[in-house]
Amino acid sequence: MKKEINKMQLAGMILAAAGLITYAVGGLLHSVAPMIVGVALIVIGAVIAILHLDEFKPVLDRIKRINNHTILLLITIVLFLVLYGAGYISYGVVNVKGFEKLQTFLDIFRENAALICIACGMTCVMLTGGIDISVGSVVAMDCMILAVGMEYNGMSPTVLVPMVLIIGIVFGAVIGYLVGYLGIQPFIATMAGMFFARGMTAMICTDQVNITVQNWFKEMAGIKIYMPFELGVVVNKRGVKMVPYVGWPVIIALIVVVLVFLMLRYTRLGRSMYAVGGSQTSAALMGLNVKRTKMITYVLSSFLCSIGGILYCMNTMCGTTTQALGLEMKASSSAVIGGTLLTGGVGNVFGSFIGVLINGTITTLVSYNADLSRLGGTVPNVVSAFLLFLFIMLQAVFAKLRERKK
Amino acid sequence: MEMNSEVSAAAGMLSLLPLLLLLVGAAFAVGIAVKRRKRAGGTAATVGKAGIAPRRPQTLLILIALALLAGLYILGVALYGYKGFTKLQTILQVFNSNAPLICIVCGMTCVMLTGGVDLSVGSLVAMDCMILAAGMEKSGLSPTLLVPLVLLIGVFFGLIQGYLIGYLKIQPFLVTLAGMYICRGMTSVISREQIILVSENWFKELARFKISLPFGQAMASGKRGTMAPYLSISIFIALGVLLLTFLLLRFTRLGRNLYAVGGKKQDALPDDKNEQRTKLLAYALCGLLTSMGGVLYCLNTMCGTATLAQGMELKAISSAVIGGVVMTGGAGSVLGAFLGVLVNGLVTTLVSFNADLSRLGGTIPNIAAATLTVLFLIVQRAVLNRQTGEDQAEPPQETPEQPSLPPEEMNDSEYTE
Repeated sequence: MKKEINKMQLAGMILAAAGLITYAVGGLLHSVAPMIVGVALIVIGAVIAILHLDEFKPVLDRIKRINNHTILLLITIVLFLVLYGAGYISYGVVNVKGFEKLQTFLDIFRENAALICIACGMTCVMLTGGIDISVGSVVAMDCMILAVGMEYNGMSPTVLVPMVLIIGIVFGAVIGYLVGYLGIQPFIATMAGMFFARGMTAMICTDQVNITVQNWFKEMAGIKIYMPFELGVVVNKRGVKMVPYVGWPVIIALIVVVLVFLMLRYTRLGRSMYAVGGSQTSAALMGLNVKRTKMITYVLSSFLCSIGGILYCMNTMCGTTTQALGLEMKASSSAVIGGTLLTGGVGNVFGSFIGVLINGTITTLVSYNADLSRLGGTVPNVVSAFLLFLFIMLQAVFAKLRERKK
Repeated sequence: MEMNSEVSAAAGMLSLLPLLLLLVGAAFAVGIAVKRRKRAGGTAATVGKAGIAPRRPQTLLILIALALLAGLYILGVALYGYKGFTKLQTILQVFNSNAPLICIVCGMTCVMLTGGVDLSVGSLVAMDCMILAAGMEKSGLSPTLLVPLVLLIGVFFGLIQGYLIGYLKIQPFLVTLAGMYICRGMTSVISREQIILVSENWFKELARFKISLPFGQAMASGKRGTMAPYLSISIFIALGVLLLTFLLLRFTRLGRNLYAVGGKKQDALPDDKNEQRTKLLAYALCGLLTSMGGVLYCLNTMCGTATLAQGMELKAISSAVIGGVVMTGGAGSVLGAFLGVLVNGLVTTLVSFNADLSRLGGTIPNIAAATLTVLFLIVQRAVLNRQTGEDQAEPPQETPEQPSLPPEEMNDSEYTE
């Protein structure tokens, strides 16, 4: 049993070694970027080396047979693990700043509960080959309606929450009508919607409105749901047990993910969305109502976006005109990172969910870095845009490879 | 009192001048259309197939834009005539303040002719202004150096976007949406200061330079004698750019390629390589013209902030659409887009005359631009569908059930102000 080290294994080892050196250099210089790259290289190198062991030959063969969409999703999961691992090592092990806590991980969920909902809607729209860039503005409008309604008009959230949802549906219906029935390009129709909603926000009120009224909405936002079995308990300096917690928004967002996932997989509507995105003519020939499907998709997106808006309002407890700027970017990049094809027909909400986690991890990493966090919200947006570019290019490369195979 | 009535009479006369010009323009357009129809005769279908714009619907679209412009002007005179809307300077100010937009819309038209779109223009303008302001104030660089630098950055940025769109075949709106956020982010990375004001140098002198018109004197508000209406230097640059782009589109190979790529008519479709290069060049050109617009924008505002020129992309797209540029590409002209800029400019001016609405800043013009875009897209569709119906050349991809939806139906549902 002579074991030969094949070329790929050697390459993997060299890659891992290079990663180790990069990581060491980064550690010496106390800078994060080389360390992240280093960890990434180590992981990739190790995976390559291990996969090319003889024992793993069946696995490797199987991987080679996996289709491109699954590979994209796998890349996404690996990217998330690498990013989180890099953060864990840089801010949890090397210099302990608290990234290693379970609460930090849960905070990613807490901060991005709204984004998870919105990304689900965005995924549905993208499956039909469209895009919805009005989401950020709709969130701002929802927050403003909730804030002004509660603060100035003394309305109960029991009235306001359904009202916001209905506004979302009406808004989506108009955009859906424009896109589906009048054939206006999705990004133009939704861009008009974006400026319209942002304008409405300013027309309702130009100031920042903080929600100070005590009602079930505010109470619900304050409820902490602790992890069961005292999972990840940390005892702080004063000896108090800190049990990691999440809020209601997270639970709602996760329920939304599951529901949309089931909807896409098992209902007629979900399958129609995939069909319309795959090929409109084929879908029409199969007897699907393409126009109606498109319209319903936008209604669904705006509805989910309004749920996201309510969750966003629970997090921020205020309404301003500049709220949720660039959220459409994060939502679409989450969906694309998660393997949803821009041309439609391929993707699922689970990938988008991972995409949101990646975006959330980036934001958290940036907030841990003193230099970058001073620039405010722009850095995560820029990184998100770069990731979007990267993944679109990957998609294009895979599409070309598939063409060549044929 | 006598003096006042005399002035108002003169103003009234002057207020008719732009209207007269509009009417003359409309008459010209009709004349050209009739002539074309006569000349084209039986060959209309073949001309349409060549991808170089079916003429008649284009003329109709431009006429609609002209009518809207005239309507807005009359509305302005009727509502705010007493506030000085009738002054010649009001109209000139529309030109002065929209000089950057004219440049940008030229670039946008080129991109839209290929069937694409560029959403990054507003952010690119903000980045240009920031580079200019930070370069002059913080680094002490001369504008002689900075202006070419900014233009180069624009070209470079456009090349990257064009490469992604043309060669890697990624959807234009997504590439440029990402570009939009990257530019906007870069703006705040360049300088962490909230706002940088440009102080004294020849750049500022240039901005202050006023070219007074020899006629149309009006009373100054503060009784300091008469004030001649003036034009700023930037409008001349913008009109020069407009003319050059017009010539480029009409008479050069690149211009014809732009139409052909967007038209997607088999006869005129160049080979794949040519298409890729044309798209690349279109975005590079758009980057250049946008940066040109950015320089003019900086001349107007004399500052750099991260929130500058927000919604500029919407204004540019809406101007092009109002002016008859078709979003799927292949048809439209920069002159139409210029008309669109004037429409948007007049809307902004009208809003600025209304005290309640102007307090909301750029919001109302943006909403108006968004609404107009959607309305004109519907109108375009109706007009173009009728055209294809007449020609029997090619059925549209998706025939809507009601091609000629009246715009009122739109208004009552959501897009009302």
